[in-house]
Amino acid sequence: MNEREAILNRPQGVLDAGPHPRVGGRMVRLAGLPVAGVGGLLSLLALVFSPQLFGFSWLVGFGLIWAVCVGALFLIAMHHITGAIWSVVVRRSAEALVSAMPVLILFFVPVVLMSGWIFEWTHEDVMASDPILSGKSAYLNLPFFILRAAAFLSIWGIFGWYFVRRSLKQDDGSEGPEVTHGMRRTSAPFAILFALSVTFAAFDWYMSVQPHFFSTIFGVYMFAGLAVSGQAGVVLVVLWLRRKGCLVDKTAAFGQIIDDARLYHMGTLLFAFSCFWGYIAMSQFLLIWYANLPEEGFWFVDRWKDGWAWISVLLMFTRFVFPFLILLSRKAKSSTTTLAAVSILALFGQVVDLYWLVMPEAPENTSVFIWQVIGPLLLAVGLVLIAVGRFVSRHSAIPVGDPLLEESRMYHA
Amino acid sequence: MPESSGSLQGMVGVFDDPTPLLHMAGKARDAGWKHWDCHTPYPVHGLEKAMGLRDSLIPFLTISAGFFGAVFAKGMQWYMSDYDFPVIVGGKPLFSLPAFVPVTFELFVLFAALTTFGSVILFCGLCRWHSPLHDANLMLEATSDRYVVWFDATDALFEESEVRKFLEGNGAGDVRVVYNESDRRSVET
Repeated sequence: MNEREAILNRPQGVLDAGPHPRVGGRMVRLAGLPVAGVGGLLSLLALVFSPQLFGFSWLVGFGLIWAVCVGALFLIAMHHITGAIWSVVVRRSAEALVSAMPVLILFFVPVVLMSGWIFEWTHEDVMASDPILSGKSAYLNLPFFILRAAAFLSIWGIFGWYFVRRSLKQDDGSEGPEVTHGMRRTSAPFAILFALSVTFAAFDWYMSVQPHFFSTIFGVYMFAGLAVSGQAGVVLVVLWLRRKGCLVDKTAAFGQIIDDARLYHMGTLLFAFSCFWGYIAMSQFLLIWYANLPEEGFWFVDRWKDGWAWISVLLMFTRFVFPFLILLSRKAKSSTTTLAAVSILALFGQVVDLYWLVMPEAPENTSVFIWQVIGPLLLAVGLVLIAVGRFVSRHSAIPVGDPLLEESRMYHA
Repeated sequence: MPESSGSLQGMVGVFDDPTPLLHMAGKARDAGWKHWDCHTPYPVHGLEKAMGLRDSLIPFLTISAGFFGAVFAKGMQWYMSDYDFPVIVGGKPLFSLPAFVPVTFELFVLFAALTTFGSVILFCGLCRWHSPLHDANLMLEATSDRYVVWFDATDALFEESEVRKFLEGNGAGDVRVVYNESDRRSVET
């Protein structure tokens, strides 16, 4: 009888090798603090010197947290809805990112406060003097905008809280499989709410920065980016926990729980979502470019003139071409170094994407590079790091009470 | 051995479990066998590593064919729209890259897919009509619930008594010698 059979013959259930090692998240929290501090300082500087550009920059920083947190929430829901086995040991890392949801809600407050600088449609005189915009005033007005945002943030907040809490509740092993069944049932209606909320949030927060522009695929476009960023964030958390030795199988039969097979699956998802983003981005561009109608074509013209073409090309390469070429081979998908590098590239691509969506609309932009964006971005990264560090130091790195854990540990193909 | 039997093809060990097969495969790999194979009812995880199989050439062929398809598509569209029969459509340039993306993408996928299909068939030896394992009814067992390791008689290491010892020592309860039945028929007639 070999080790594999020995494990197979053990009673199923809670990990019997004792409590799982936890990482002292202090390092990450300590790393997050100076990043957030420098970000806050730069944000303050930007706010003082160029308040309007700072408003647009803040929207970019907000978008990064949105993409990572809500993208991770999407992955958790996908995990439950498909009943996946391989990802049980990965799920906790996604939950760590979802635990940063309060930061997202906190970050939204300044968006509302600065909405007069960012969104042209908040000015009633502009709306009244423009026949096209006045036709949109029933949807684009501040009270309704805040109401919708509150609804979106509540949906993600409540469901995020639900999925994370329930999963943590299983950790002591006293809960039966009904908790898992409950999460599976909840994930299906959440998928519908998620699709609607992300679509309209994309319209509200990023499409309406240029209120004349409209694109029906815009919600899908943003969703594709969210899925990439969520997966990239999960990969980085998983690789960090793995490096810290929190994901070693205590029965020592297979060494790392996150083995080549699981790395390969995460790499495949990253690859697939990057290709999906490329497909959707091309679909959005091709139809508008081909129809060549002035009422929508101007948006892409704005992103091709005065040096913005460089940002457009950078976007193509960081979000599609490089991830596609790098992750194409099987070896690359299961290499920790490559996965970490591509994940960082993907998150950088998300920043370029948000920058590309928002910044060409800023009235004061004098060059393609706007330094004001650095502050909010660093602040966002720092606060997410603190939230994740806090979460992983309090909870074990894998869902130790999940009834499918044993089965997931045996999965290696 | 009955004299009427055909030429010796090789030997098989039949297992009821994938785990001893994995051990067996690892030992055969380390012993330096060249002409041997494993047959299982489903893809046994880790068997490719235990057998020491090299990376397949197919992914390389697939991506090469894909890029060839993409270049072919771009060239074809350039020839049709810009060179052979130039017609201005929608005020776009004759050679306009964005408009050519869908066809390029489709031909990339088509070439890659057809090449994969063809090379898998070729590399699996699917054009062979007959294998001695069919006559021995081994495929019937290997496709339902048994795990079979096959040692070909053409291998330099092949020695009937040695192979038998090797198989039995590694837990194969059922060791058979396989002769080419079609040979025998030709001998008999």
